[in-house]
Amino acid sequence: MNLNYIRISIDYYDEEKFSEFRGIPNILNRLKNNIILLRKNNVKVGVGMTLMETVIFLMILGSMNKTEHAVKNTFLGLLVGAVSLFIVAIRNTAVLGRTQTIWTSTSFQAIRLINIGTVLTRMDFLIGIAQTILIFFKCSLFLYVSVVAISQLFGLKSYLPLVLPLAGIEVILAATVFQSPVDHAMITQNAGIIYSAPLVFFFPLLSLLIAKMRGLPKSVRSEET
Amino acid sequence: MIILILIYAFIIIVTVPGLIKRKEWRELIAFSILYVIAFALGLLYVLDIPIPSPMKGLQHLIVDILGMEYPQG
Repeated sequence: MNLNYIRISIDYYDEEKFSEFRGIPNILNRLKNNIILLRKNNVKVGVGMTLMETVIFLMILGSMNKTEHAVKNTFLGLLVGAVSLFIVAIRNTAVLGRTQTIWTSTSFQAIRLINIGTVLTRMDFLIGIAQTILIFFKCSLFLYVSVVAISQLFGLKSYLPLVLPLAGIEVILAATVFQSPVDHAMITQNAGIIYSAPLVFFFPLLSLLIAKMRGLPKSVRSEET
Repeated sequence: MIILILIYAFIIIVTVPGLIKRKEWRELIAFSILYVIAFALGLLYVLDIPIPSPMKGLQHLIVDILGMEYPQG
């Protein structure tokens, strides 16, 4: 197998919590040694932290009109998500065992190996549908954040007129920005790390700093937006 | 092509009269700018004219001009 790229997920900044979460003692040190080893063997390493999705997700809470049950419902939603992920993790571990760490899409591989009779042998299409729906939700969220951001930037009363034209731009960009998954991976590996760094680390901090300096939020959100 | 024009005509019919009626000129200007960009991109795509990828431009700027790149093996 020609291995040239490995993506590593960092779950906690605190080593103790990270070790406990993964069940591996001294994990950050081991991770660092393994990264050095991989780099010596010309394997590219990407370190992933799902920060931007979290930032965008948190923007929903700031844009809610009815906030009475926001905390309760958020925890409920997170709980449902956590239980779902837990079930998926158990299934993948049960099917793939220790080999699950070598697959990029463990759910696809796990479902592919499950063989219920002779009829349901291609259950991976279910995962394909589920992932498409998830990406649809993610794109919808990004579209919502974009229209709200533009409408707030230009002081518009409502973001609704911008939804359809911006969705039109999004559809065309989705079809043309990357020519193939390989093209996507190559650009993300080479330039993506550079251009996403300020978006992930600099702009959220700058926004928080400006909000703090301006003493925001000052007023109750208007009903139109 | 016809489908594209129909979709964009539908968007105008749904959005513009309400904005004019409520005299929301700022919203109308923002809508018009995005609408023209979206329609132009849609037209280029339907006519099979290559649309330059902003990511390619970004990669060119970062890698070739600024010389910043994730180290290769």
